[in-house]
Amino acid sequence: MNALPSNPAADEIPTFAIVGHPNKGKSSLVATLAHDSDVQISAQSGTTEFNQTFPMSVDGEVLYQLTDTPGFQRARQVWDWLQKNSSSVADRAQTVRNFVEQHRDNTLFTAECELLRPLTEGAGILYVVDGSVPYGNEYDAEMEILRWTGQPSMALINQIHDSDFHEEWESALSQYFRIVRRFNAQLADFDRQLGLLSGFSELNENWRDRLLTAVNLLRRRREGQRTASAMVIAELIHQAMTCQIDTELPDQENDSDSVAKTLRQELQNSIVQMESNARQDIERLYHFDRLDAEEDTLSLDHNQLFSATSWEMFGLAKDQLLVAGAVGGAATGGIVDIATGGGSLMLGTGIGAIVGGVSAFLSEQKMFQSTLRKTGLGNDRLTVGPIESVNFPYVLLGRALNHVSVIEGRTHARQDVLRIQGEESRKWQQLSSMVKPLGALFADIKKQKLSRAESGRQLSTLILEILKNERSGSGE
Amino acid sequence: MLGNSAIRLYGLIKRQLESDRQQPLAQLQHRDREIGRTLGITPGQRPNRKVMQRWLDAVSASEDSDPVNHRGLSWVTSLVIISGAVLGWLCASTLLNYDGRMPVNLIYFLLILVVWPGATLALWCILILIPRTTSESVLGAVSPGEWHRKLVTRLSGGIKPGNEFDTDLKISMQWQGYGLSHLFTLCFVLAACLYFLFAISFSDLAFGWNTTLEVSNDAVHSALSTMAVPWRQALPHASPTLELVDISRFYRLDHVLSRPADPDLKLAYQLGRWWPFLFMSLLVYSVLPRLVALFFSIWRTTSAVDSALEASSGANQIVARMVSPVVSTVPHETSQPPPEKTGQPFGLQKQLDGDTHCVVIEWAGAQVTAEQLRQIRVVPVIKSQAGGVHTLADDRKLLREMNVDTVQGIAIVVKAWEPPMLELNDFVASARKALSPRQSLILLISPLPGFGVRSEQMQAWENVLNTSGDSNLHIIALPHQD
Repeated sequence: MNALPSNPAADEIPTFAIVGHPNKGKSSLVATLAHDSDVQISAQSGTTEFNQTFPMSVDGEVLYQLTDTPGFQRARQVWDWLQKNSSSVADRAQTVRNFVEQHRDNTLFTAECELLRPLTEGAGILYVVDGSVPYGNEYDAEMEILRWTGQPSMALINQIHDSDFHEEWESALSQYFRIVRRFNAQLADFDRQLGLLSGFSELNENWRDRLLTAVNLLRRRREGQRTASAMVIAELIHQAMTCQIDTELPDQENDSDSVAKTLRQELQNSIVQMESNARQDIERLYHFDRLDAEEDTLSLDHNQLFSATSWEMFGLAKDQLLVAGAVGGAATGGIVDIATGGGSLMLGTGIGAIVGGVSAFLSEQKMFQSTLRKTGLGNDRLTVGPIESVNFPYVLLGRALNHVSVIEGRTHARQDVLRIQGEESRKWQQLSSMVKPLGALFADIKKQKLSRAESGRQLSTLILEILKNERSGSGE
Repeated sequence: MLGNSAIRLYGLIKRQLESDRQQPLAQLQHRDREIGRTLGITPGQRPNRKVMQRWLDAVSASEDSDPVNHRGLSWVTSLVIISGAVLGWLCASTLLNYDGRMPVNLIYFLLILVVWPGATLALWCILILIPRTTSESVLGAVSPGEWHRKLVTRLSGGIKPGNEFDTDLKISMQWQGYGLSHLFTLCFVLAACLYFLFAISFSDLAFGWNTTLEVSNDAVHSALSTMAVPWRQALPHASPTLELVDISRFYRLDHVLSRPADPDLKLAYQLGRWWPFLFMSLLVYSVLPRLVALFFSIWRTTSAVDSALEASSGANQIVARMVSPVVSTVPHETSQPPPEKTGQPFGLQKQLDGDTHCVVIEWAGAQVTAEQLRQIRVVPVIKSQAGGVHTLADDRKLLREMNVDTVQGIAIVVKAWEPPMLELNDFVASARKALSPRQSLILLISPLPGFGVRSEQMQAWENVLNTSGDSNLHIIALPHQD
């Protein structure tokens, strides 16, 4: 069987035409591999009418490209034509090219001409089937046509629904394709996506270098996204932990409690808004520009901040709160020990730890710090904030980590609403091993001992470590 | 001056970041990468002021409006400089006023031009050294930094440090306020210095001191000598001698009682020898510390902005975009969404009223059981297969040779899980041609074993078949089978 004479340009840039029956997830596969939520995906048959090419480029240089094609509509008719117009095995590829040439303007074969065109130009074939429905012999015609093109090919079994018929698909597809893989375009995590991309290099040895370069760049881009996310979270935590609302009490205002209540609400709204902005920033980093999300709103209610669920989320027991607070105190006390060259017999650290732990407990009794300042020269000023709860930064961090994790695990093929609810929260076991450094850092931020840049640097480094550990811990 | 440009830069970057939030990320990546390559930014670069200024210049070449009222701040700075200088000049001219009878009181001079500025400087040091919360409650009301923050908040349209979110900006503005207060004092003492030099150059001044208290000349000499320690080695003439202290002491009735008018001009000459000491005192205790404090305040103002930029995830992302290759996986043109389909049933779905005798054709391997047909009241007269592995010629032959005169219609069984394709449309059209208009054409939608037909599957078939305009074309979902 002769391969089609390849177009030199197409030979240089690996091109993969994603072909198959309509509604088998071709566009979903493209959306997932191209990280583009704008790819039109619909339950309606025939949504893709014309080819659309998605080039993966680095600073303008294209490394490979994916072509989303319409599905076969009249495969048997094409197959019939090819059989009638081929005289030998040797001319099969040319016969396919002839078909495209001769039927270019025939509206009956718009879909077939469109999907076969890139193959006649040298594109590799990614044949997509739905592994959740049974194999049927109506697929045979299109698989024969694809075989006749002589192009390197790979079959992908996409699992759209829960039912599983992949075994019968594997046995059928292996008759036509040398490489058969299972790939869930909706749920494939990042590493599986890169694994598939690397696998494309099996189709043609000449494409290997470019594809491996692409894989490495995508991996580096993901690391960059994660680093930037860690910075966004660190900035959020610092802002939220140091946020204060300050107002001048009017002359006639005698009841500062009611003003304080209003300010507390304002402070809460501000922090909720900060979290929302941070989430949007992170979603944008991962190219989810218009994500429809349903998220539970952060509540600064004492009960929620101190609830068992909040703590379980981080793999912490409630008594570890005291440990977290004590670490902050011990860090302070340690300075005394260092200053005295250990002459204090480490009493500084011990006392600091006790003070820190007790402070942590007591601070839970008073969620918001309120300060009434009598200026003497004008109206008194009332300042509300920052949030006193020791638990608060952990809750904020846990929520942010959950969000990043959900975003990182979400493919661009998914059209459903992003839901981040309590029940979807993961347990961040790694966080329990980070209690000490986090506790010390949170204490420093609270006391404004570190510059924002320094605390941001330290905190984002810890967050990045947690995210990396979580990924390696989950086996990704 | 005074870090105005740094604060302004921060405000402009913040505004640009806000504006960037509305732009697609891919666009920002291309823009910043281009800027990064043009400016030669290399990996590892931090978002410092210099880099961010160059980036900002490249992004917004034509800046329309300033988020900080820059002119207002410049105006305030100018006012501070002029008022400080005028007050210093006037104050010095008053203190150095000499009519030839009473000498210039050097104690007044030192108190107003050296001790008072020194005392306010010490107060400021306390203000910045003691914890912030305490300073706010005790000294906040009289802190020039606090006054300035309020002033800037009023002057600023775009950035509002008063909203408490930009801690670093708030700190930066406080330091700028301190800087303004130092600038005022510096201008005050510099103008006083200038007047002092002017007065000693163009008039004949005599300095003296007195007190009602019982203070010995030795004590005064000792105090003044201590003051002169910093320059005594280098400038011995700028340190008062005991003799000078002694002869400079005057009393209210000095010329009447104890010291009749001295015809010796030497005494008058001696009284003028105080000026090097006074000048050095001004320079060392008023000008230099204020200059240091001013530069310190400016440094803190700008370093707070640096810190804000370095901590800003937005600024860090900009630098990251400038140094990272743009990895693009999106097409240049975005595909248009397909036209919306109503989702309303077209009326093709129906239940048969009575037993309907049909030719049943199983399409592309779809299967139907006798029980399923019985339940929907289709009586199969003949059962055949088409599509799938059958050739087009087989399909044509089937329709051609099929005797449909004795039946009420043709029932085509299709798989619910496979999408309707044009190939089937062609077959349906051919089947219709084989029937009379009164005869029914029924599509039986067969579910996966163990499942029912989903409503969206029925809808998909209706969407495809409703364009035929055939009033005797119907779609029926086959019942669930185990």
